[in-house]
Amino acid sequence: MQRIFRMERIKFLKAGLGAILLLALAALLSSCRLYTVVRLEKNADAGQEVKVYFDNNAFDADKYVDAIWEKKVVPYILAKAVDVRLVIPELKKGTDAAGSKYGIRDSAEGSPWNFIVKGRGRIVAVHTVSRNGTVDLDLPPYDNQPDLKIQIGPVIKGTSIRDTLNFISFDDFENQIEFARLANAFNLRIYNQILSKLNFESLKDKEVEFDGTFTADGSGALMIVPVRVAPVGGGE
Amino acid sequence: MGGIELKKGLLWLVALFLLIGSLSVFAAKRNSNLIVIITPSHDNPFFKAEAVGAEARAKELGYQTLTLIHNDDANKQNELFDTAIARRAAAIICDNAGADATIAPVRRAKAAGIPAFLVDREINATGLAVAQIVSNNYQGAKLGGEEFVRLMGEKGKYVELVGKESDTNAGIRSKGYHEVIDQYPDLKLVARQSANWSQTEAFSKMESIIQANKDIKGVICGNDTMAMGAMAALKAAGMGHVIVVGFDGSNDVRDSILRGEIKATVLQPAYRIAQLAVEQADRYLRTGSTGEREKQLKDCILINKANANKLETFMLKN
Repeated sequence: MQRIFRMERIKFLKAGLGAILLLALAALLSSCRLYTVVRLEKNADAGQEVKVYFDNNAFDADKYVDAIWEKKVVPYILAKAVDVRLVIPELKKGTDAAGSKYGIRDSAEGSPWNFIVKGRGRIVAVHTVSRNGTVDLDLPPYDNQPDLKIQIGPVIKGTSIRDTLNFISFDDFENQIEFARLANAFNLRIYNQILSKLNFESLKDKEVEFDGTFTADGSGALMIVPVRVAPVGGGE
Repeated sequence: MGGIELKKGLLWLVALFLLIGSLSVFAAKRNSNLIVIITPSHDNPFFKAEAVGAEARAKELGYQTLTLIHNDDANKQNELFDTAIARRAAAIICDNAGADATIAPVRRAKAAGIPAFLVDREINATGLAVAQIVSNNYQGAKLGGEEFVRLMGEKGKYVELVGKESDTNAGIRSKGYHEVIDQYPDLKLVARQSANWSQTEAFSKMESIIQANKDIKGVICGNDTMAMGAMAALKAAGMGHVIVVGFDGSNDVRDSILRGEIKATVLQPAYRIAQLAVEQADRYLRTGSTGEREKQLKDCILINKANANKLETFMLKN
C-alpha cells in the first residue's frame, strides 16, 4: 500500500484527474439528450363504428400546404426538374440506375424512387372514364406513341409531391396518418388550383409544357403529377 | 503527515470512483453481446416472421439473442424491458405493445444506456428510441384500396370487414381503404362489421351478410385471416366469384391468390424490417450512428396474381 503513494504516481494522478473528470462529465451528458413527447388525440368519430386511435384533427393539412405551396414547393420543383427525356432511357435500364442518377428517396431501402421532371409534348389521348383521369403524352420526335402519362384528376394517386420535397420529413409529423393527409392535401390542391381549370379534351393533339413529379413503380411507366401544366404558346 | 496521506488517499479514491463511474456509462453498451427481441405472440405468423428475421440477422452479425413475447400486454412488456436492462443487453429490438405505454420502458432503457430499435409500429414520442422503422399501414391500405377499386371496375356493392377496434392498425387500415374508395361514388358500402381479425368470426359474419345481400360484388378485409374466412363463406354460398382483398401477405392468402380465389393482399415486409433494425443496431453499436433518421416509414407492396408466386413468409423474393 505504501508504494502506491510514491511521488511520481501522485503527479501522474493529478494530471489524470482533470481528464477523468472531463471524461465522466462528457459520458454523463452524452446520455441525456432531450426528447419530445408527441401527444395523440384519442377521439372517436361519432359517425364511425370503428374508432381510429391515430386521428388528430388538430393538424390541418390544407393549411400546412397553403402556407408553403407558392413560397417553397413550386420554386423547389421548378428548380430541380430534370428533362424527362434524360430520365426515361435510364429508367429502361433499371429503377435503381435511374434513381441513383436523378432520383430522390427517403432512405436506402424500403422506399421507392421519386423523380422531379419537366418536358414538352403532344397530348395523344385523354382518358376520363376512370375518376383517376390521365392524358397520354408523346414526346418529340413525334411518332404518335405515348411516352408518359400525366394525372389530371379528379382522383390523383400517390405521394410523389410530398416525397420529393427535401424539407419535409416523416420525423416532423405525429404519425403515418398525418403524413398521408399531407400527401392528399398536395394532390387536392393541384386538382383544385390547376387541373380543374384546364379543359384537357380541347387540348388533345396540342402541345403542352409541364413540370411535375412521379414515383417509379418498377414497371418503367411514368404517371406524372404536375405542379405546372400549360399549353405551349398559351393558346387554348 | 497522516493528514496528507489521508488527503492523497481520498484524492485517489475520488479519481478511481469517477473513472469507474464514467466507464460504467459506456459499459452498458459495451459489455454484453446480447440483442433482446421483443414482439407480440408468435401465434400470428407475421410476428413470428419478425422475431425469426431479427434473430437470424443478429446471429449472422455475431450477437447472442434472447427472444421474448409481450402478448400486447404493456405490463408484461415493462417486465421484459427490465429483463433486458438487467441483462445489460447491447440493444433491444421491439414491436411494441402500445404507442403511449411503450414510452416509459424505452426511456428506462435509454437511461440505462441500452439503445432501443422499434419495428412495425410507432410510439408517440421521438428522441427516445434510436430508430423507429414503421410499417406504412396507411400507404398499404391505400394500395389495397386502389387495387380493390380497379378490380371492382369503380362500381358495385361491397362489404368491409374491419379488425379489432382496440387495435390501432384496424383503424389505420380502414381509414386508408376509405380514403381511396370514397372517391368513387358508384361504389356502395352495404355492410361494415368488425370480425376482430378472426377467421371463424369473419366466416359467420359473412354468412349472415350474404343472406341479406346476394348481389355483393366485393369484400375488402383488414387482414388476411378475415379474408380467408370471408372467402370460405362466399364459396360455401356458391359466390366464389366475389372479389376479396386482404392485408398482411400471409402464405395462406398467397396460395388462395394462386388458386384464383382471393384476388389481392398487401405485404408488410415484416421479416426485412426486423433484419433492418438489427443491421441499424449493429451499425449504431459500432459507429455511434445508424446513418438514418429516427422515424423511417417502410412501404408495403401489393400482392396479386402477378407476383404472388414470389412471396414466402412475408418476404418477396426477386
